[in-house]
Amino acid sequence: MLVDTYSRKVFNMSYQFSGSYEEAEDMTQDIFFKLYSSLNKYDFSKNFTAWFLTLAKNHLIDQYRRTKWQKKTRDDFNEHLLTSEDLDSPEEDVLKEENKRTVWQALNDLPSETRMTVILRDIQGKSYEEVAEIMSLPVGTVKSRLNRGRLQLAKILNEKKEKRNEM
Amino acid sequence: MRCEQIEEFLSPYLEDELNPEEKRTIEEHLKTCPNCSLLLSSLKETRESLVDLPQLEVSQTLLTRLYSIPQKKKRYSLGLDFFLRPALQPVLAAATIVLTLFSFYFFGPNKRSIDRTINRQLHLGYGAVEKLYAKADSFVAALGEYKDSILVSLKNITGHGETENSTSDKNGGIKWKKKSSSPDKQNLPLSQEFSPSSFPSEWARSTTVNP
Repeated sequence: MLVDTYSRKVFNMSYQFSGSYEEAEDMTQDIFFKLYSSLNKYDFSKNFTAWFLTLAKNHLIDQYRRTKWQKKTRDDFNEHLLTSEDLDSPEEDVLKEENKRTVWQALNDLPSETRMTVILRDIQGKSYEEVAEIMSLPVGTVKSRLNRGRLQLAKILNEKKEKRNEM
Repeated sequence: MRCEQIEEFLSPYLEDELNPEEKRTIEEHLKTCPNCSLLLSSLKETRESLVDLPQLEVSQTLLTRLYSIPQKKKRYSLGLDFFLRPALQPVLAAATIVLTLFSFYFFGPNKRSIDRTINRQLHLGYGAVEKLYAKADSFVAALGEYKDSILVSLKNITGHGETENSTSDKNGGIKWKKKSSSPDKQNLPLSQEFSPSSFPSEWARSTTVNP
């Protein structure tokens, strides 16, 4: 069943992109609704996962452009993200958690296409080829966007660290 | 190489995508540049933080909502499919035109003048029909006394009296016989039997067309 296979992927993609749990739930529902309406347009010679995630990506970026999520703040990092088992482990140190918090909030500063590229490659762990297929871009463009996105996030993290050291 | 150029190579350096020469250039620069070294360290931490972000589980509420979508869609699409059937398109087009005209009539500013025009046109139409009926009545009355002779004449012209003047050939076609020369009252020529001059003056008056 489509919901069992893809709901987690699509929900996480929506949550990481929007930064809002409620918004991500609504977006996931919209994406599945769109999927059922577009199934007759699916070309069976293509990879279904890539096709569906492209549909999801297009919907998220369209919604973002329409509603300008970047003006809203993202959910507090602790609210949902620390409920995960690996973050409950005792060896999770304060500095790492602080870095994660900074990077999570900094995702909102990236342009929508760059943010989506970073999410697909670094958070969802997809290969360059998969990201290129989902983003409908050449691999070279994906790499340059990814590089730009990571650098921007690293610079924000750098500034944060410098401020922390000054204190 | 300047720091701005080095920055572009830091991410590929971390992913080990550079050739040995590029790699050596970056490493030499990093030894002498604390800013780029710091940026490389932040880039590493950024990647680690992104990779460590957890993948959340979908809530039961959302799952229920997602499972109900096909039924919802089916319910909505049934109604929509009915209206989108190609056979209904002319009906929908006609309905649109009618609705547009009605909206013009009911909500337009000239409703009264449209009413007046419609009344006038109906009245004129009704009057024309009445006149036509009156003319038809007088025509029927005028023809009443000549009815029999007209029918006979028409029979002669159109071949209704074929038993007397024609015979059927083998193929079912009609062959016309030469007309009998004996003057019979039933077979009088049309000019003698029914002519416009024999019409009553009343009929002539009623059929006169006024310019």
